[in-house]
Amino acid sequence: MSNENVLEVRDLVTYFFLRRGVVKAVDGVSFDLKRGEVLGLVGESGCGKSLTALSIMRLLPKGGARTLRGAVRLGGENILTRSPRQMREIRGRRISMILQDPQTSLNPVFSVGEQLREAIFRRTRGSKAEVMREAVEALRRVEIAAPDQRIGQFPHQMSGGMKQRVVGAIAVCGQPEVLIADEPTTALDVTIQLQYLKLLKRLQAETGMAILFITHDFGVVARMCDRVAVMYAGRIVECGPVVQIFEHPSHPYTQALIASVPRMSGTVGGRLATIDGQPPSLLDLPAGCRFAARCAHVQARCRDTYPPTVTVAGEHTADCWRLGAQ
Amino acid sequence: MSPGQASAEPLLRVDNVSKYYAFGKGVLVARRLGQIKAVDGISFSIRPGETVGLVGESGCGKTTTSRLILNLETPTAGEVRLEGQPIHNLKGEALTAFRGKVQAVFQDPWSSLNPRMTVGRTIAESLIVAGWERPRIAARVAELLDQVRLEAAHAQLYPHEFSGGQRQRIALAAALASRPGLIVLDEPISALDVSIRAQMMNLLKDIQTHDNVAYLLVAHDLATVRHMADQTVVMYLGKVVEHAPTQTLFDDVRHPYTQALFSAVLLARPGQLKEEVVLTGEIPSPLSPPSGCRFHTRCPLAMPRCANAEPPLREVSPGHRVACHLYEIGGDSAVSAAGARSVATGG
Repeated sequence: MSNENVLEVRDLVTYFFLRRGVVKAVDGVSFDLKRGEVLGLVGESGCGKSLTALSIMRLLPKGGARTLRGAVRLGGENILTRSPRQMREIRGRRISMILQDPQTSLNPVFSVGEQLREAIFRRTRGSKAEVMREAVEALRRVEIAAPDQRIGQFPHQMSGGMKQRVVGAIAVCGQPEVLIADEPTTALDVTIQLQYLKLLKRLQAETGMAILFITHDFGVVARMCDRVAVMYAGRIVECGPVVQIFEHPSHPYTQALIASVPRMSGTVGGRLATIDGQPPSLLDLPAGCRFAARCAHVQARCRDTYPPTVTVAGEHTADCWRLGAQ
Repeated sequence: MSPGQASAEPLLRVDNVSKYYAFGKGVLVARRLGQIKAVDGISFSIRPGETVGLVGESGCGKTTTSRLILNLETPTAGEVRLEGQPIHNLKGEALTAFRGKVQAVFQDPWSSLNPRMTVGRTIAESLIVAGWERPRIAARVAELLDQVRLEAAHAQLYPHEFSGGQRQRIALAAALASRPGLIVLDEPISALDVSIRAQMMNLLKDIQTHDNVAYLLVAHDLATVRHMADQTVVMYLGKVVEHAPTQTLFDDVRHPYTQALFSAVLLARPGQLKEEVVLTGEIPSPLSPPSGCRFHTRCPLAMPRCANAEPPLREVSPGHRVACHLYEIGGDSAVSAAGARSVATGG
């Protein structure tokens, strides 16, 4: 890991414009991804973490989603201003993405080999034999046994874990600088999940790529990430080195979230800490802190004005009025 | 609730139950090719007011087991008894009465509630079947909504007006309506948001304390099972591989598969990682399970005889049963077994 930022996201704003109103799904998100690091982006469903990723990739869903503001700088250049044609060159080669469900990210009517070879050919323009050799090698790298036989198979002939490894092979075959992994293990069985996380770690060590790892699972964060950013209702509310966040969570939301997860140590049973209420509607966000309605430490000003981003220690920041007072 | 508090007489007994499905090829001229042993000779029991956790990966038979207990499937062999009575030959009124005693809450609250029925009607359904009168039903529905921390006025609304966590509580209220002795909870929290899960787990515990209802908790997440269950049953490819009181199991993991599951439970804090058991290979197809011990193809501690002989489930300490050749009485593998344990617990 170096201190050079490979990806800088600044004040990214993506809204859905619907007949019912404006859904402020990503509402001013900023973070840096350093070369060779794994940054976790954690939050509940609907907090905007996947839409942040899709905004970076410029693959917004059809039906009213638009990025209004902000900058996404990949190696210094703002890719939000690139043409669709230029974006196609960037995707797969400089920045790749793995989605949650391998079932839907592979095309069922083409063999995995064809899908992999297409991705490799786009980069190398090599001969058929060269591309084939490279494709077999790519499958071997993601630990698929008997790759020369597997390469002719179709997605339905493979297990979920294997399919997700093929997706991984396609994602990294262009040697991207940045890999966005959006809940890549959520659809997998637990022992297979562990295999996959180990594989991603190994691929990262070999290629030096940076990973933006999107998840709702703090356990996965603990295993995978160097730093973590916690998202709530369209904003990053806390960000810092992973050990810092686990041992000294500063935002009340992060504190409550970590406390509500059952532990694997200590005596069994007991009651869990809960977070009462629901996240706010993204159609009708409060003026102040978005967590105010559920926060145990809420004060009057929390409801009126969004809190500033406060540096807790070193790289550890959190958006909370309580921290500013200290 | 601890096992000591629960009474000793089992509410439900699963006795050497198997469920095989035949599979074949062809539609008009079907050829029988073999059978899938989805569940193969499992036994455990559930006492009144306790929670039994059933853990395993996809294809391990945990869903088939819960369907057998719900009497939605008939076993190929063996017997399930509720309060001493076999459940799979029940008919007519006796079957209706059984349905009232064993209820279920499924994983996905988006598909398990009828979108065209009001919440009140969904909850009342089992009471209508049981022949309750209208005023009593209305009072019971209000009581149930209160029990799951919803308001009486919510009875008039439709499922789409609720969040995932609220819907799961509605499903729970519907399951509780007939005052069942046992509720099968099939992954009850895995579709919920992280911040909502703790609420649901606490609610389930409160209801158990209040109503003395027993739960069969089917889950893949060990931390949830550890938090909720009094006993834990670990399944792999249709077999029980380890079964013990939860505290005992989590203090002293024996079976290499359970150890691997423990490694896969992603630790709650970074930097706690020590040695871990990472399984190689895929989960074998239940169509052709491996010979001998079904786990031997992925087991880091497999020995030659594991491929030939199937290890029986035997008691290694009071109440703690393991199906593994490492724990044969008087076996020469005590050293490797101890080694395996230290790997799994890892501090």
